[in-house]
Amino acid sequence: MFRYLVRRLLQMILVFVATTFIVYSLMYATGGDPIQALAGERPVSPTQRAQLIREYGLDQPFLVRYWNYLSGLLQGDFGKSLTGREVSDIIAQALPPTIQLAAIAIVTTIALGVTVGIIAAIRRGGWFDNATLVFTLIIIGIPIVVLAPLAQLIFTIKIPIFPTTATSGDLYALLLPGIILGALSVATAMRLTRASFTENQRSDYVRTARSKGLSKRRVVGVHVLRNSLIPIITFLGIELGALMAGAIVTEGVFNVPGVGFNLFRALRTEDAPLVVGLVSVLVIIFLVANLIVDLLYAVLDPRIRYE
Amino acid sequence: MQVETARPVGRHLLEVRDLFVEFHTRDGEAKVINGVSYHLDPGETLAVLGESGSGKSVTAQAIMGILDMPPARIPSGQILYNGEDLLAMPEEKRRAIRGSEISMIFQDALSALNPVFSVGWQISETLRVRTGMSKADALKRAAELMDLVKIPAAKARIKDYPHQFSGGMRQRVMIAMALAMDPKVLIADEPTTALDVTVQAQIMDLLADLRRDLNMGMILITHDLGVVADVADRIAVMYAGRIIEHADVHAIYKQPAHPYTEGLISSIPRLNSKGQELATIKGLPPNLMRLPSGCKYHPRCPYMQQPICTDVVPPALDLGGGRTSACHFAKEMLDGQLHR
Amino acid sequence: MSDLESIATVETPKTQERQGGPESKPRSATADAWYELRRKPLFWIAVLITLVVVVMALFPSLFTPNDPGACALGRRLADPTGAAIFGYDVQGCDVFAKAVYGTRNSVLIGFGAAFVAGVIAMLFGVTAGYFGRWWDAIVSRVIDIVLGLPLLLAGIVFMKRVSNAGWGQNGRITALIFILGLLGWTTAARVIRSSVITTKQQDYVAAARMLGAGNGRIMWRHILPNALAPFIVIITMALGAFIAAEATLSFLGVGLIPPSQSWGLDISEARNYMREDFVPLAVPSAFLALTVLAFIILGDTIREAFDPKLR
Repeated sequence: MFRYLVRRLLQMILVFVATTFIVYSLMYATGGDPIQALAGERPVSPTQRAQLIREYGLDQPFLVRYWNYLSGLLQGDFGKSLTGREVSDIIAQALPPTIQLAAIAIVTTIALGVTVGIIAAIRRGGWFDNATLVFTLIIIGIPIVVLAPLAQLIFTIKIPIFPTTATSGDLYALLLPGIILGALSVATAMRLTRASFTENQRSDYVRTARSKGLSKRRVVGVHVLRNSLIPIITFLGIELGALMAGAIVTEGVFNVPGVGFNLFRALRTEDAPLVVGLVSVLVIIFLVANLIVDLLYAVLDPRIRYE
Repeated sequence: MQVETARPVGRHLLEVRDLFVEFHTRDGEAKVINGVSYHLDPGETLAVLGESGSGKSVTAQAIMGILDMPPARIPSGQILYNGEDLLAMPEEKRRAIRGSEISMIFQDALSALNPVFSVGWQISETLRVRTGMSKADALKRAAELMDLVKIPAAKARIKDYPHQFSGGMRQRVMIAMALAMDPKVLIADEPTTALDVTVQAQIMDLLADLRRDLNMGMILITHDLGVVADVADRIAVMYAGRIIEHADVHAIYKQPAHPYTEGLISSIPRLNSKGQELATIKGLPPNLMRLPSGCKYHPRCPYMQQPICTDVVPPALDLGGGRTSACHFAKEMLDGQLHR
Repeated sequence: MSDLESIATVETPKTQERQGGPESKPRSATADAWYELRRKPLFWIAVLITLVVVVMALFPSLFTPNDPGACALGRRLADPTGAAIFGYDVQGCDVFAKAVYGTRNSVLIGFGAAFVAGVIAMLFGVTAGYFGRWWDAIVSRVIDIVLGLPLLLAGIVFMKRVSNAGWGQNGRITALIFILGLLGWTTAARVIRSSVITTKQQDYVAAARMLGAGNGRIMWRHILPNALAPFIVIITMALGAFIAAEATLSFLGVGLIPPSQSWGLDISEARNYMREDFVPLAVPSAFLALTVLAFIILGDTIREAFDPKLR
């Protein structure tokens, strides 16, 4: 268990350093005029230029700058946006709506995806199962850039049961974007649950449990469920990180003032430091979620716990 | 439950009567069990012998009531336990028998035990769920059962998980689990096949001891004729879903009454057969989708005679003393008059 | 389906093994899968859509005589006329023609990225699984790192770099192909790697080695065919994901930019006036959704056909 944890932690540190390095060097390295790269296609005045050089330490060697950036990241310092605001301030403001959104998505996923997946697995081959399979395929097949605007069109304009935008940040307004954000996870969870359940239902220990004379309810509800939950919970954990990272389109479409929305705006306004800062924080969230999942996995599966 | 119920004369503890099982597959109906009958009395061991696909495990699963139906189907037959037909029983009543009166241990204990629960939990589960025993009492009983099957330091290992045990110890855990409710019948489905040879002997000894001490009836399913000689009282040899020979264990070794049994016995390596080529049964087990006509063994039989073997299904001939053989030439075989 | 036919190797496992049931007549995995696939209407629907999409990408003029670039503000949001069966958008461009001509870039980027990802995955997956040791460790860590970058986020950062470099239309298409390919090869590589490791331990591979077959021959003749079915499934599904990713990046303003034709661009623009007219939003959305769906369904049905456990 301890060795497993240490190994996972070392792996995560490696991935963290490597990913931030990629993001950082893409934004600031590789030839050309770094100031112009920072400012994108906007004209830069000489005073601005001098200020930017000082601010971003562009007079220092690249690896030193990366080191400063990395240690800044670890202390919560994500640098300054081109608007002059601290990126960490923007993040602090943007995180709560994003977390709320991801929470709604995950709750929907558990409530709908996992339950429906279990029912489909138990009634494998029936009409409910087949309908579920087709439905999940369609949801998985429709990209969020289609789903989000269409949902907005249908449920806020044609049938106005939800507000068009969720700028205010109240929970009801977040419901539609939350569900849209979670749609893919719901479908994936359904399939994963069904597959995991089906596979476990066929395993030898189920035959053993039945031969002990246990009721069907107990065989399925205790023996099969406990085993099937391992990959499902793992999936949910990773998905939580992915959802926050993947909320760019949804937050952009519904004007939810979260991390993704700010990223969306930073892309349009060519605010490179803000883009790097936001991407970094999302990558960190994604990695931390993965690490937590690894821990959870070890708790759930004794075969790993005692490795 | 502990009191031995008085059984009318001629009634067995467990009796399978003319059982048929089919599997529905994409390519058609597979006739897996074609009229199997055997019986078991308290304190005795019946070995059911056969190649894989001969239907020996399916029969056992039918007795337990754990066949997946569909794809399996039982068109006819009876399974009598203390005179009551298990197949005609309501599921609830049958479930009460399953695991407490008749229990079963499986071949590969690693996959047959649930990987995410501790062995103590799994052994005690039946007790907790079915007798309403408290968790602490059930765990105590689980430790006793682990002692009974000779797992060293049973108390200390009760919280361990299946993957932390060796193959032999895991099989002991399975046995302890099967014994939790003091069953009258224990079905052991290839209990030693997945184990090392030395461990195999230990497990077989343990099963023989337990059967004697607890006065259970035991059905030992195996494909290994060598394993059964010391343990079994009677042997039923299965081929293509039928019992083709049934006899006392000594009688069968002395003089088999079916060519298939003879083939099995002569293919056991012997110390004095050094330098000779080991006899084998030629050909392959039959395709259950397209069983041969007449005697199902005729395509592989060295004594095959046309047209009787190819056209007529041999009935189970009573050879006296509880011995039967489904061969047209069973009597000739017993008398040693049959030649290739 | 000739590529599917060529991956015949292993025989199907006995379906009723656990019940001790009958062995079905031996049939190659491919023939078995093909038998399953043939009977699935969903599979044929997906094949049909895929074919239409590919033909549309190659010969858009077969589907519409109109030029997607010929816009006239005088036709702003005008009703359908003639070949413009879905009317005109806010700039007076033919909505249908734009969607038809948008197919080419989507298909080009989707197939291109899938090709790049496939080649990288093959190269790394096979060698890592086959040679193992330090090479496997390095490849596995690289996969970890690439997986640590969510596709969309990394795509944004990479494409931002390309934007700043001021690349042209074709440059952006090439960039998208390589960026998506470079970010999207990991799952396929993992699948190949584990499949190679499993096959490597099979007796017939050991036998081939003892008979003097070299590494290259063993990989090519014995190991690759077994890894191919899951590989095709993953690449097919990735193709759909790449097309969706291109649309998303264009939607966000970092993918293709006008005057390139892209469904993502159309959706992004049409969203601004969907209260007035939703058809310009619905048409590219439908094109994009159907195309991605077709590839996902294609991959999924093939996977199911090859996986006897799911039946």
